[in-house]
Amino acid sequence: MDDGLDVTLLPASMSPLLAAEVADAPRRRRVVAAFPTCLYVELGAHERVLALLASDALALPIGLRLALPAAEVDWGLEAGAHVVVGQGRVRLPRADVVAARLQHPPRVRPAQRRPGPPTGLREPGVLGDLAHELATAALAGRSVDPGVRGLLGAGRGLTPSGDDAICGLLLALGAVDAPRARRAHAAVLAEVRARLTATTSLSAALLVAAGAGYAVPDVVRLVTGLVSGVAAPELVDRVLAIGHSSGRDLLSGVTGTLRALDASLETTPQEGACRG
Amino acid sequence: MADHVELRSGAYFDSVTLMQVSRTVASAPGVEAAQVAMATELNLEVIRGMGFDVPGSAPNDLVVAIRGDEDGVAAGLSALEGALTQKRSAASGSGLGEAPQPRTLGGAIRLSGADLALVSVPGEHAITEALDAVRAGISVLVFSDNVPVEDEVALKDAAARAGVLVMGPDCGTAVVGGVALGFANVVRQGSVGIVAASGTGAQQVMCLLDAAGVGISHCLGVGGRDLSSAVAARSTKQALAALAADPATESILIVSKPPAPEVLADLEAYAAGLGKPVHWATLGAGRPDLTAAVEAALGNAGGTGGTGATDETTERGWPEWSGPSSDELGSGSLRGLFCGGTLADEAMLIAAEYLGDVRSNTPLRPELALRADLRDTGHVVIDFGDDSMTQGRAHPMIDPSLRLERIAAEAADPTCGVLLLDLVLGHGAHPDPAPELAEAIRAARETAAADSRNLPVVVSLTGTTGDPQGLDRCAETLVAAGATVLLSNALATRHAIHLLGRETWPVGTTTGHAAYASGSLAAAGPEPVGGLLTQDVSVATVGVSLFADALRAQAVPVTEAAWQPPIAGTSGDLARVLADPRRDEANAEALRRMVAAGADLVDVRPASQALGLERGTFLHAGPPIEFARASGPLKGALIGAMLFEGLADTADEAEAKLEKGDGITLEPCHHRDAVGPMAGVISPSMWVYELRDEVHDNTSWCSLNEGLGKVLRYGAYGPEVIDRLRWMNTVLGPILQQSVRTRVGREGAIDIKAIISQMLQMGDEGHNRNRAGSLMLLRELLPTMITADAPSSDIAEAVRFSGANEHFFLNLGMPACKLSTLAAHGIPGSSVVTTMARNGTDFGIRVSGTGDEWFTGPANTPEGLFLGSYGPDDANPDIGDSAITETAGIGGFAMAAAPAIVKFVGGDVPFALRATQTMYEITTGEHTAYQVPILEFRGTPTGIDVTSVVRTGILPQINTGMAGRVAGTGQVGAGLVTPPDQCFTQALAALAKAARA
Repeated sequence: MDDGLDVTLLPASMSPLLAAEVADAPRRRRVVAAFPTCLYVELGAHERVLALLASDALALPIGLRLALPAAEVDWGLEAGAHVVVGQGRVRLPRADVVAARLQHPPRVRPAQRRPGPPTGLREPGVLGDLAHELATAALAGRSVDPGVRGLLGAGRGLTPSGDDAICGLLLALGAVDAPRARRAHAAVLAEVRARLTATTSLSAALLVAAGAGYAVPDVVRLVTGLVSGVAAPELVDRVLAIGHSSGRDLLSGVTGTLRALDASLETTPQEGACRG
Repeated sequence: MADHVELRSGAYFDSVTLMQVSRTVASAPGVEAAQVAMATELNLEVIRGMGFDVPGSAPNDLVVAIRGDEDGVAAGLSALEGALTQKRSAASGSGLGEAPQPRTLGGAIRLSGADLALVSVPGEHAITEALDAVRAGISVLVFSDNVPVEDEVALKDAAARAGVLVMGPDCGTAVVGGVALGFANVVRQGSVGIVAASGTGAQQVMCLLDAAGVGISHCLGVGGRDLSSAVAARSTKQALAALAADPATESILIVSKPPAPEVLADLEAYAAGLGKPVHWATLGAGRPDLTAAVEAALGNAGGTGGTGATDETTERGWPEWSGPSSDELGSGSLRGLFCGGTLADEAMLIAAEYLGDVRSNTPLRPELALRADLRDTGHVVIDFGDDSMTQGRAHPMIDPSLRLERIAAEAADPTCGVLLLDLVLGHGAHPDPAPELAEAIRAARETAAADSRNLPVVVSLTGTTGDPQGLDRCAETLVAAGATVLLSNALATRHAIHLLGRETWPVGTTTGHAAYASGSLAAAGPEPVGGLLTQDVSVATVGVSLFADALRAQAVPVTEAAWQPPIAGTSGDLARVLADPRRDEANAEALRRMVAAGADLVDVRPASQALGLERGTFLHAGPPIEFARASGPLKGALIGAMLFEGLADTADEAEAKLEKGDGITLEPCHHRDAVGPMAGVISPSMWVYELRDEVHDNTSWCSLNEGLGKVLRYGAYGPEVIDRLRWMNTVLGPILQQSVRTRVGREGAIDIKAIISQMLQMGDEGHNRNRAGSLMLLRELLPTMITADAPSSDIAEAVRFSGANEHFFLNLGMPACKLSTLAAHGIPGSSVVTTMARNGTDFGIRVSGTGDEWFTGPANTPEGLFLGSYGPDDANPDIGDSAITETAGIGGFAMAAAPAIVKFVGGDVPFALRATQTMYEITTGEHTAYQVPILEFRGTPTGIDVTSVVRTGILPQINTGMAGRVAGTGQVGAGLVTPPDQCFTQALAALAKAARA
């Protein structure tokens, strides 16, 4: 159907989190970062980023994902270059990536907390402590401003370590079905949303996604499992392997948060009885 | 005008590909007619029917038949090559060291880690492939039809045990997590989950829902027979459980052809406990049609209800497209020509209400069956997608030719009053089916008009606005040809009946019923069907490449197996052996034992002591053979051994005695747990190495290596050969014995297995390249050799002889491999090969699960490089027990570790890499101690599985020396060879006989 046009069509599955901008009228967009397995493209607002992913890239929830591995994809672009996003496709210099279908990313859903054998990280470190403090404050209804300020944007790289820990915190709170957890989640998320410009665009986009329960599939599976007290050592290993330190940082956040949550629920056992 | 007919063997393509290739060839300039097809009986009949003269052939051959002028045939052939190359290029990995494309679904799953499989190979092979998926723990969609029902039941039971879902056989459609599999329309996502024991039925239902603005979560096909008494809803129940646990699914719709009443009743009870509303679109007399069932379900799912009103009491306005001829009446009988089986069923059920008996190839009652010619003057509905109509050809949704012919025939039949047709759009279907069908409709109406008859045509068009073919465009094309087009098949059928002058409106309101659960779903256990509905879909496919292409277009990662049919005549045996419940565990045990077996050099002594060989008994390589049938090199070696043992004074005398056989016994080395390279002749006075496997308490023996060139094992028996053997007996043997015994006493036995794993990392493969191994062995032996109690000149000569012999180690590697395979022998149910050996005439194998029986075939002659002035005519067929190395996972199987070997046996370096990678396709597993550095230290392919050889047609790759065919010549070269395939087909037959159900 495109005979005669010198363009390759690369079908991709699209996360609904991006659908609005991809379906919109075509606009020039800047490439924020380029790697062999993925290309990050800004979508106008600071926290709106599209990740163009090869099939062997980490399945980020903000992705337009090809069925081809990085070895068979050449973006032909570097950071700072421009692409056109819209009308259901992303136009690259040598190919058009077409959103062929919607792929709902996995999502943590609130479930009852069932503490199991100690899992997650045994030593969640400083990040774990910070997440623990922030979660404790949020669960107790205290101000979350200092905690969020201390973590957001703290660290090197595209997704600073502090942000990864907050993602872990948001996912963990979002995965527990208890009014106190819901309130804490809302408080932290509101504070994070107000300060998104304190971190990178990509990290901001992932924080927003985590606030809605979205993360890469292994993380969602792990958090869901940890909340219901299921140990999954092989999942822990896989999550630890994510990024340079992102997986570990995120898990530190999850571990610190779950510990804070258990302590909080223990001090007020009656809350479990009147769960809404 | 000339006919060009040729047969090509080893070229397998699926029917859809060949249909496309045939069309390309037929449309080349100057070609009058052309057919390219696999040489099945049915296809040969068709090609012969076109007047071509086709020679005898096997079903796995490709027949090319082209008729045209000289230039036309040439153009046709060039079009053929072009089309085939294009098809093939997608299917071959050819980079340096790149693994070849897997041949089986199991291979494709291993390679890709896919979480869903799709099988569309011909029905007789479908279960074999589908079982690969079940064994790998992933769900599988079986598109193939013509699968026996008992196989379906066995497959589904296996799947239930493995916690995975089988969709099919004969499953035309499925949508999993937004991914369309097989034939499927592009529908919006939503909350209705569908379980479909009907392909086109499910498509119709999804299209109606889509038109009403309601999306689906998943559509799980279960195969047209799942609700029959025999299959008893095995897959349907699993699919229901999966949808019940799926958070995206809020209500469930079950679509089926008329189900068995008791199965339906049981299923209704099951569905009531699911915790989600379940609606039924299960066809049957007195039950709602699909459209009515969808309307009932819509009342629940909150859809807007077609394009018209939403009030339940008024008629819903399902889309229809009509033209000026839409109210034209016909007179005569209803003729329904369908591609969709369920659509045909629905049409018959409705027509029977108004018209009475409808005859069919898939009748509602047996007495309504059409004759073989499918003609009748009354009401007729034909399902062109039925199994009986699709053997050896593509489904009519892809290849419409049979139906188009029938439309023309109906047009000329004065008893035909109205034509009712279906047309199904979506993924997998014909990319643009409307013009061809419109042309047929126009022609049919003209034919009827020429005969002064009206021929109204009604089309039920199953499609959505999202379908690639374009719903409106297709409908308009058909309307322009004079047809009336309706989205609802039930309404299309009623309209057709109405055009015969019958009253079909208003429709009696039979509402569907929904079942609700009383309680909530049981606590979340493990995710049903292995997380199929929540994973990111990636697919391994085997069969028609059209489906793989359709998946790629949806951005689904796909790995295709380069499937070809198994070795001819084996499908029955294969099915029995693969279904043997003992096999997986037996093979795993065989592999465990092979890998665990030890191999310690513990002694060197004469065969008379070690093996209890008596004077006049000669061991030889390969399966049993009498002297008369022995090849030149074996005869030569036996003559030499007679001379050596003093049983004859001349070669002539020795040969005469051997021919007579008095007092002479020939026996395979393997019968004594020994091995011998090439002719492998061991006589009582010869010295042998003795190796022990302490793990399994086994012992094996092998003669001492004589070096290369004119040597007994290659069939030479001149004086220098006999003299060397004498020296080996009187000098070398005793020195080695002292050396080994002293060493064993001081430091323990020499670990031969450790040397093998080292040598593989040093460029040896252990069969035809033993350089590093020989040096390492010498390093172990030297300290105690040089201190042996013997004249220093003898020690010096023994050391020089051993050090100069590059194959010094071979005679230790072989018994080490024998110990490995011996440990794996005799496991009931195991299909792992434990012996491959040749005597220069026959190639023989033995298999773990079939005891000591040999399965033999004529030995092939190796191809390779020749020494000096020797050439291919000088080479004897394959000979020697040394193929025990390949049997145990080294030699040809480890060629990638020894790329330099290609200078000795022929081939090139990519070949060496490919050879090892290809062997993974036919082996049970990988060796843990023997590794290939260039493959990232992957273990060598170990444990040849008879079933894999038969399935893939890939034969074990053996490196070998070549003996001269004339007795007394010696070595003439080295090369590559494979066993004859009958060894494996016979072994399979024996395994099948011994298989447990």
